[in-house]
Parts: sequence; C-alpha cells; structure tokens
Amino acid sequence: MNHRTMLFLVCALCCAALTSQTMAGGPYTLRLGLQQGKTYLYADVVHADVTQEMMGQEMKSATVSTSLSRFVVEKAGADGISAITSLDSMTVSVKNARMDTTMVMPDLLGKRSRLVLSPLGRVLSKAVIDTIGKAGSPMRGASARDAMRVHIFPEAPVAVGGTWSGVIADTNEAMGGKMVTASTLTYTLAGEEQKGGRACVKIAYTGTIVVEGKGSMMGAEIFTEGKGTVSGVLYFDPAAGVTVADESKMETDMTAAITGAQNMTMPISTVGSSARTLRAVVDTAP
Amino acid sequence: MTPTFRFRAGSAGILVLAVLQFSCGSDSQLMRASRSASAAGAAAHVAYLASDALLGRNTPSPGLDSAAAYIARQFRQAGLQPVNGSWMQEVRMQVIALGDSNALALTVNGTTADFTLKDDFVPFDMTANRRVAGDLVFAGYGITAADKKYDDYEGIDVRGKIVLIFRHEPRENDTTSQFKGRKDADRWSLAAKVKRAKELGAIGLIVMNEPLSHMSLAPRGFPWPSLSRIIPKDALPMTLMTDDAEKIPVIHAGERVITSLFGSVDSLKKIQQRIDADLHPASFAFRGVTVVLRTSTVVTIHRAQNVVGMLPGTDSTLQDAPVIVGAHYDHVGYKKNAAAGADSIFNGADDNASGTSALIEAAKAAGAMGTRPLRPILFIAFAGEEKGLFGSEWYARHPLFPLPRTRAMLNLDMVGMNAPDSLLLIAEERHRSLEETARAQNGGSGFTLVTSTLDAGGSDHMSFTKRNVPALFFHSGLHPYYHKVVDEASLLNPDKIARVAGLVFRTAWTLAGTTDR
Repeated sequence: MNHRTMLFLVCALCCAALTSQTMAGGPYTLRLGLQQGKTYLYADVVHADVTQEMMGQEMKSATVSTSLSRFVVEKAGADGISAITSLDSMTVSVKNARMDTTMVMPDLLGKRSRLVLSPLGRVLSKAVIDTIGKAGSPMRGASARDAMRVHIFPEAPVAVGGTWSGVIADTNEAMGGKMVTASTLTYTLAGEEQKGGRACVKIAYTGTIVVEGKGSMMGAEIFTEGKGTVSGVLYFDPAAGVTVADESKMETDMTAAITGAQNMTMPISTVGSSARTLRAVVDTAP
Repeated sequence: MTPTFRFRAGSAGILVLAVLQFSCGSDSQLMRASRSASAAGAAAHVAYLASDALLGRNTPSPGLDSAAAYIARQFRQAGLQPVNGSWMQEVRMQVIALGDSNALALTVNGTTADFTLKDDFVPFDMTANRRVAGDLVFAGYGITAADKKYDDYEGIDVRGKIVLIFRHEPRENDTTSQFKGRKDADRWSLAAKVKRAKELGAIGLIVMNEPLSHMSLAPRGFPWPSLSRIIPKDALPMTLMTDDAEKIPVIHAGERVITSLFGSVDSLKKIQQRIDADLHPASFAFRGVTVVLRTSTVVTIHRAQNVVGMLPGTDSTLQDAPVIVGAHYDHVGYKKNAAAGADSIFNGADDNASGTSALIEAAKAAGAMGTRPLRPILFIAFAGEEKGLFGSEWYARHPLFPLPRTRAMLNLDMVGMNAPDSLLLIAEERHRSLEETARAQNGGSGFTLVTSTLDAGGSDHMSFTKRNVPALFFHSGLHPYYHKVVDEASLLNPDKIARVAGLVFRTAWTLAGTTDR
C-alpha cells in the first residue's frame, strides 16, 4: 500500500496552516494596546483549496479549519506586550477524492506559546511553552500561528489614504522541520467603519509571500518552497489598540519535494481565505 | 447468476456440474489443495523477501531483482508456466529532467520578442522534447463538454497550430454555474486539455492563468529542480515510461507573454469576462502572430520486472480470459542518511512480503490441484506499487491478455498482521459478486470477513477497476508498523498468510470455473 495519500494529507494540512499563517494585518493611530490582565478570544475560520499535481494528474483537497484562540496578556508596557497564546478548540475538515473527514485536534489544545510583540506589531520573541505530542505533529506550526496574525503599524500617525509597508517573517514547525515564511505587505488606511460594535479603522493590505522549508518525515527529506500573493482587510480599534477582524484571501504556488526511499516533486497550488474575529475580551482568571 | 460449485441444479444441471467438477475440481479437492498453502512456506518466503539482504526492495534496485528471481523460481516449482516464454514482464520507467534548450519567441506583426525561461514561461513535466513553430489560436479554456453544450474548439481549426488556453474552468469561483465551480475540475485537468488539443491536431500548448479569477499570473509549469534554489535534483519523480511521440510541447506562460499577445492584462480580462458572462466561447485565431516554441527534456530510463506465471485453462474459448491474482513485491528501500548503527532498512514484511508470500502459496495450491480450471489463472507479482502502482499500471497498459476479457483481479496487499481471524474484503459496489464468491469459500479459512469499499485502499487493484475489470482486494488493515523500519518478518502471522492464500486460491479457482464475466 503506498503512502502518497498520507503525504498528500500532511501537505494539505500544512497548506491550510500556511493559509492562516500568511494572513496578517495592522493598526490606525496606531499602537497595539492589549492590556495586562485581559484575555482576548479570537475565532478563526480558514478555507484552503489545495491542488497537487503529478504528471498531469491532479489531487484536490478542500480543507476548512475552525478554531478558537486565546491570547492572555501577562505583561504590557512601552517596551512590548507579552502574551500567552493557545487554542481552546480546533477542528479540521478535509474533503478529497479519498476522504471526507473532520478531525478534532486534541493534542493541540491548551498548548501554550509565549509571544512578545512590540507596540508596532513586530514579533520580538516567540517560545514554545508546552510541547505538542506526536499525534498533532502535522499541525504543530498552527499552535504558534498567532505570531503571523500580527500586522505591522507605521511609526508616524497615518491619515485615511495613507500607506505604509512592513515585512513579517516567521519560522514555524511543519513537515518535521522548519518552514520560514516572509510576507511583504503594503497597507492603506482605507477609512473608518463600525465593526463588532467598535469604532474601527479599516486597513486594506496586499502583498507577497515567500516560503522555504526543510524537514524530515517517514525516513524522507522534505523540501518546500513557494511564493504567493495575499490581500485583505484589517479592522482595528485604534482606541483599544486591538484587532477586531481580519479578512483575507491568498493564493500560493508551493513545491513539496521528497527525497529518500521515494523521490517526488509535487507542485501544490492553494487558494484560500481566512477570517479572524474578536469574540470577547475578558478579565484573565486569577 | 454466477455459477459456483455450490450450484444446485436439476438433473441436466447435475450433468453440467459433473463435467465442471471433472475439469475444475470439487470442493473437497479445493480444500485438499488449499492445504498446500502452508504457514511454513509463507514464513520462508517472508523471511527471504523481508530480509535485510534485499535492502527494502525499492523499485528499481538489485534487491528487487533478487526478489523477482526468487518469485519466478517459486512459480516454476508450483507448476505454473511462463507467459509468452518469459517469467518476467519488463516495466519501463523514466525520470525527466529539464533540458538546456528551452525557448519561446513570439512574432507579432513582424516584430519578434524572445522570452525568458522561468520568468516568462516554464514547461510542464508532460512536455515533449521538441521544437514547434506555427500560427497561434486562442481556445478559451480549452474545454469540450458536450453535456454542457460548451466547446472552446467549435468553429476554429487548430491543426498544425499552437493553442493558447486558460489553465482552469469558466466561473471557477461560482459553485452555481453549470461548471459547478471547481467541483468537476478533474474533468478539465491539464492532462485532459492537452489530450483534447492533441486530438484536434494542435502541435503545442501555451497555458496561462485567468486574470479575473487568479491573483498570480506568474508562470508555474513544473517546479523543475534546475530552476529552484533549494529543491534537490534527486527529488525528480520517477514515472512510467511514455513515448515522446505521444506528447506535444506544453508550457505555462506569464504576464509578459500575455501583454505581448493581448496588449494588456485588462484586455485578456475582458475576454475572460465575455466567456464567463454567458458561458459562450470566444475563441479566435491570432492574425499576424507566429510562435516558435522549444521545450527540452532529458530522460533517464529505469527498468524493473513484473513476475508472471500462468496456470492454463481448459476451455479453448477462454484462453485469453484469465482470472488474475496479484500482489506487489516491492517496498520503499532504505534510509539514505540513517545514523550509524540505527536500523535503516524498510523491510516491508507486511507491506507486502506477506501478500507476495500468499500469492506464491496460492500458486502452490493451484499447482497441487492436478487439474485445470476453464479459464487460465495468471499470477502476477507487481513491481513499483510504492512508486504509484507502476507495475499494475504498466500491466494494464500492456496487458498479456485483453483486459475486457479478464474475468477478475484478486489483489493481496498487507495480509499478515492484526487480528488473526479478521480480514477485509474491499470491492466496488458494482463488483460485490466477487465478494460473495470469496465469502462462499471462507469456510475452509474461518475468517471474520469485513466488507469495505475500494476508496479505503490505494493498491494495485485500482489499475484494474478504473478499466472496468472487476477486482477484489484482500487486506488485513493498517498498523503502527506501516512504512516503518520495524515492519519485520518476526511480527507477521504466517498461519494467517497461509489461510489467506487458501481463500484466495479457492476464490480464484471458482471464478476461473465460470464462463460468464
């Protein structure tokens, strides 16, 4: 029995995770204002239609990931915001010619990472607190994806119509190794809008994504590379300094190459969308 | 109704039954012959096939060749005969690398522009090693779909011309359109589009992304390692050999090519908009445009062997209508970068030394019958299953007997682990009668047979079912040792393998005693 189906599933899951990782956003007057002692809960829905090709044969997979993330601010000040991130829930549905499955990811839940952000949104540090068990290994990177959900804000105040740019680079665990993602985004402050009961600024963004990675699974070396485009809209509450919603679309062309017992070079195209919504801000339980 | 030897009939039927039993064997004969399939024999085959000496039986490899020679010897000792004078059917494979003379030039109204590999165009892996030149025809999405009353090729002549098409399907983001968004996208795969263009006489194909429905117009093609910074050359996949004469140059073109041909991306967007609006093709021949396209590939050929042995049938009208019993004998080789002293060999004891051993033991049982069935029984040990069903796909493309005449294919893959008395029978719904035949023969094996669907298993039977050959897959389930170096002979249950062999032998023999399909 060959294991191409299994590899395809792993690739599809990683592409789905990438879809969420590469959706990022940014602020208005414009600083992150997350407060110490508060917990921010976000709902995320990520769609990824993945097409993998081999000699003209195409394998298609539609993946939907639904999750609830927790962002517990343990310290906030002018030099940065330190928060503990974790997942409260996560389900991943995969549909393709061979399977129609919904997977709950219990091994990912509650696994904490510490993320330190500058007020301008830059990731100052990121560290895994709770190691994820083997069963959740294909989606390990997902636990740290909050790092890529940040957006870069401009140093100077920006008016409607104003633009700025930012580069967001991140390294995550995927396919038994590391995947480095770099997004170069251009932001435009498009206007003001009520969202989720809050007065928000609407920030449109577009950009490119470059991905490179190397890993090892099932006795094989796995290489990934690719690039893509992303566009989206970020709704940011400038008074509270908090992201209220972030909706984006992306398209990537990736290559997964395998050497070892099996040799493969698989083009993988992904068309995806991501929606993040602030569900609640609550006092952190003592 | 499919006749079996449990058939109860009237007096005329009894005469027929007697004749059938004379030529094909009775239930008791079948059971006696089944006992030739032994646990000791199965254990001996697994011990050899899954030994470290064969280094994991990768396709192709010396270890696989040694296994092939062993299986052929076993077939001969079982009393089988070679097919067309040989115990082997050669399976040819290829690794295709990008050559160094790829070129695209467009002449528009007398002005020629050359384009750059990687930045402006990238060949697909299905491309031909050839230079072509000719006029250019735009053929929309390159789709002919009679059921949707849609034909991009209607009213245009592409014979001897190069065709320019979109990569995907109309309204691909609209699930309510008659193309159902991307739902039926398999029908409009690139391979299907190339086939259609070639059928109509096109000599080359240029593919581009749709500017309305795709954010990127960058040429993608195939991710050739020679065009990549990090993809190693040895990641190039091995594929089944195809004749270059069957191919045409096929490339993916990017924005600069689009701008040269249409003036701007916006102009192409308008054309796409027009097609998508009412799903009416807008194909046309370019005026004053000629294309010179060269794609270059370097092909390395590899060889492996399917091992074949036949028990001839008695019915002269069914000599070309066998029952096939198959199992793949390859596995995935060994780890190339293992730490010193660590186990690095994927022995593949269950996957699929177990099925191969059952195949050999089933052949022994068939040989022990001392008589012959009506139809031939063809035993095949397939190479290259782990590469993507290569051996069975090669057989299906180059069958030793016509596939439309083939009665059935019984596949053995991973039959030596898990619960000793449990076995999965996997078949498509339309081929459930095969399962009934196997269930009727289960008395001598005593398995708890569990029905499953073909979707559950990617194995060699699929090369047959997709060509409408009825197939039944015998499988004892996945386990934690699957595709790991610890899939070793010591973990297998030889008694179970022998019982599976007996069941498969009796099923094959029963099917080979039938005259209908």
